[in-house]
Amino acid sequence: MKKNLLSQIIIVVSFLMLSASSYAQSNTTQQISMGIPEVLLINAVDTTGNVAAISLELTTNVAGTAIAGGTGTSYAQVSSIVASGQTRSIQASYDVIPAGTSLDVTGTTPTSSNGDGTYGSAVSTITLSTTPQDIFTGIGSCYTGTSAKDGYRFDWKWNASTAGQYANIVATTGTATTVTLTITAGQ
Amino acid sequence: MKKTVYIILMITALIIFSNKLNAQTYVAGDSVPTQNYNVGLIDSNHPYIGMQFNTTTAGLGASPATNSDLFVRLSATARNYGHAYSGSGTISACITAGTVPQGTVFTLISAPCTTTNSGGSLGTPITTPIILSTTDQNIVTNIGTCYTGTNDTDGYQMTFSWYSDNYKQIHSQNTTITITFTITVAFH
Repeated sequence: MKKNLLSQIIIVVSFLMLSASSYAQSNTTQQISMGIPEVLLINAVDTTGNVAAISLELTTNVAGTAIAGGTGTSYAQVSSIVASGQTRSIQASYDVIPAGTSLDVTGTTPTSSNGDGTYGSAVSTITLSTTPQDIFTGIGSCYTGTSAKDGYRFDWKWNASTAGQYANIVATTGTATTVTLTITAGQ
Repeated sequence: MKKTVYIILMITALIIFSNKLNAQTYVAGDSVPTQNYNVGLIDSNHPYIGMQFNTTTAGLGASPATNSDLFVRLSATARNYGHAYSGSGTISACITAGTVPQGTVFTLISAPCTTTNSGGSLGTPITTPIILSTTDQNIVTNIGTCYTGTNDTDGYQMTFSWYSDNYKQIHSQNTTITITFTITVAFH
């Protein structure tokens, strides 16, 4: 009986000592606050990536035809982070353009590998006015890159206006028109 | 038979009690005498860590700065019961509360332990940052009997990085996560 008791004690003690000696563990914690604010940045640049005016010129050298050919390209470089479930638009409007003319724009979403995210899609060609109109819609969280030709592409086309307005056109040089590009708040 | 149970219980209580007594004697980072008991104590300087996923330049993706404010300190030691000590202790880390925002990845890497106030076998940090998840992963291995010191900038400096792996999935939000650091001191 005594021998049996001693054996049991030795087994239990051995087990406890072994378990105590083979493993010691404790821990500590650290909280980390992670913030992703909404981002809403847009920058209009020319084809070289610089903030500069683009020049459009209407002319003709064929007798009997209307003046035409005022084309140019610019880009809007964008950084956007939206709230969950929301999207944004890029809108455009001008302040004033020469009488008897119209300014159209066709948008193309970014294609550069310098950007990433949800670029949305371009609306079909828009004839601009003084009222902002959507050029791109469905923009989510994205960035376009900042190099030349990165960004949302705008192909501008300045033409004689619709029929009945041609008589209002007068020769002018250096008329500045400001087109305002706006990225809207998330909706 | 009752006497047997009684004796066993007494011995059990004594062993458990003696271990507990010892564990309460030291602070993480202290030098702990090696001749006594297993100790694995871990603590940190508990800084406020707030990270922002932001950009101020149109066209650039948001890229938050890294954060290296956290220092983890510890004391590790063991009683040698006649077995060879392999120095296989580890510091591991995992997310125990909260969720890393969708579309982003949160990583952690440890620097080697500072040397100013430390001593012993301080182990080796894993060389590639771990992507933090709810699964415990080692960030320092081969820890033997050691101590790191107890000052705010003593110990293993931890660097957190946060970046996007899927920009389309990012959306604005504020959240808090909890990282749990565990020291495991194993002796074979």
